[in-house]
Amino acid sequence: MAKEKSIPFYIGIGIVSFLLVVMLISIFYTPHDPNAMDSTNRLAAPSLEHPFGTDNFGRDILSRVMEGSQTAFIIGISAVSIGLIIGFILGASAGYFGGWVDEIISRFIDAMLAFPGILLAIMLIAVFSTGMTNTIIALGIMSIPSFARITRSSFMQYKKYDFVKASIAKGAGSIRIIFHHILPNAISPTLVAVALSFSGAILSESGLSYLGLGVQPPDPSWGRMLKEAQPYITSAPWYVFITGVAITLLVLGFNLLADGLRDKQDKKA
Amino acid sequence: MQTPILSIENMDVSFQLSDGKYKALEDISFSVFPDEVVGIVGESGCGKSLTSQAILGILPKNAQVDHGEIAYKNNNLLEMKENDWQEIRGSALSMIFQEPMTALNPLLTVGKQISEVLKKHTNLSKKTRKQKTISMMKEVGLSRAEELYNSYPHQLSGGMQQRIVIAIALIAEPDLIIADEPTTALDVTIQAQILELFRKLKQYRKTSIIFISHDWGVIRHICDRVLVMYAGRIVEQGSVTEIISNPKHPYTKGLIQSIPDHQKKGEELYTIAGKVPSLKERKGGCPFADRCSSRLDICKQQFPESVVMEGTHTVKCHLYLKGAVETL
Repeated sequence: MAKEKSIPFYIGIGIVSFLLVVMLISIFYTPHDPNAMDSTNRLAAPSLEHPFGTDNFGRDILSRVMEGSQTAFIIGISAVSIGLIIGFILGASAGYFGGWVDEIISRFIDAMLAFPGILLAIMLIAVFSTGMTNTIIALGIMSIPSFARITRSSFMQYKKYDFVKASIAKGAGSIRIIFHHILPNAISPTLVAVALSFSGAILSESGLSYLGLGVQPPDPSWGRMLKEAQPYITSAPWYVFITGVAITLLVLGFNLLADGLRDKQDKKA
Repeated sequence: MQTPILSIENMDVSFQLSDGKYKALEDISFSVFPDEVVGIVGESGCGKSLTSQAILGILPKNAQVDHGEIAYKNNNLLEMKENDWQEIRGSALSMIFQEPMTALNPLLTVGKQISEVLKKHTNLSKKTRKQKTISMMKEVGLSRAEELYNSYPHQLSGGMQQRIVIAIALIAEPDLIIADEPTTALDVTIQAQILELFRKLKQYRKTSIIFISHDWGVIRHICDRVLVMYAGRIVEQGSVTEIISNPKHPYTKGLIQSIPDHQKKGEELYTIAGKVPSLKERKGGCPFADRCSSRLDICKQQFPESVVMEGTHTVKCHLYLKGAVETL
């Protein structure tokens, strides 16, 4: 098969890897201490010393944006993992076993889908209190339905294939068929969902933190920085701008990645 | 007489459809003896594949065996627990599928797919499994077995894929192999090679085979005995030579008459008018009655009992029941 060039895919990869590198650097090095305040230098305009300026406490915005990327990635990875694992187990059992197992799981998923995602997350946080861990759990639960549905439909599709019947005829049990024979075939549609959920989780985290429900100080978060920047939108517009750009870039990167992956799949099919 | 490897007694299989239950197989009884190749012939939709799926317990979700017995060496498979059945599948009974492209998992190497059977059913080490796999691949005629071990199904041709499927079925040295139209999806030259392979296997392996086909030429070359199925019933059975030279059932006669032959050059080929009644169209009586040229009055009312013609040759047709000849 000829390799098709997918420009959005490569742009997506570029943006995501750039931010990933920034995140990795920030673990070891930031230009300034992201939490060091300097009351004499509040809301300073971008300069050589502070390329993105300083915030209302005189903290270096560049360092804080870098530090915030860690939170974004941690939340994205953990929330998607939770959603993926639980969603996969639910979807795979529903699709593979069918019958009443499918009925129960599908109705459960339908019930979850009936709640708007962000409201569900707000409700969970209201019950379990705020903080990084609870935000991750809430966003993870939020992404279960989409993973469950995708896994279910690919399992229903592949269950009918002859090679699944052939492996039953070889003497394989359900567990082996699910993990060894169907799972590898179901990976590529799931990959698209992973990329999309990743950006969804980061966006939701920013939304929650903006509302003050997500990540709490002192953990840095882009969403909360946006909220802190809001009162100074006229006096220090770069603060809002830089934070907004960071969120947009990451979400855009993952969306382009997902689009590109889907295009590649469509061409294969 | 030898004890059969597999014997099926009065098996009925039905489909549960949205508007009711429909019988797809009725009163299927036959045995397979050691070292014997039994052919099953019939048009599409006669229940050939369904019979083989019932034996392995891989019927579609909406189909079930209503009653009857499928005995493997005197153990009734239908009463077996799922786990015990899993042990038998692949090691004692195995299956060769019609389309090799869909019967192989596209994402696993062919070597893995063959040795997987050994992993499930034996305690051999990884190394021995690989050795056995490679020698099995050579046995089914894949000469570059070492190279092919790590290739994926799409890298192989149709004929090579079918050889892999056959290797999967053979690797655990089963007592009985069910081959569901193993040559239908292949082109003619490859068909000939695969049939040659079957003939060799029959000679050296001493495995029993149930060979499903709608090609009399293939059946004649491979099988010892043949079952003719029509609309979910076995209408005639007997040795291949007996049935081909002396068919009794009007359906079998029709099938054999419609084989193209160089002696018939220039003549119009015989065909049986009409088609197999679908599940929902089947009524009482002989299902072939509507298409039969020698139909009697009784045919539409009652399905005939089995009549023994000669030795193992039996037929289910009113024409051969006592008293039928007078009313003709």
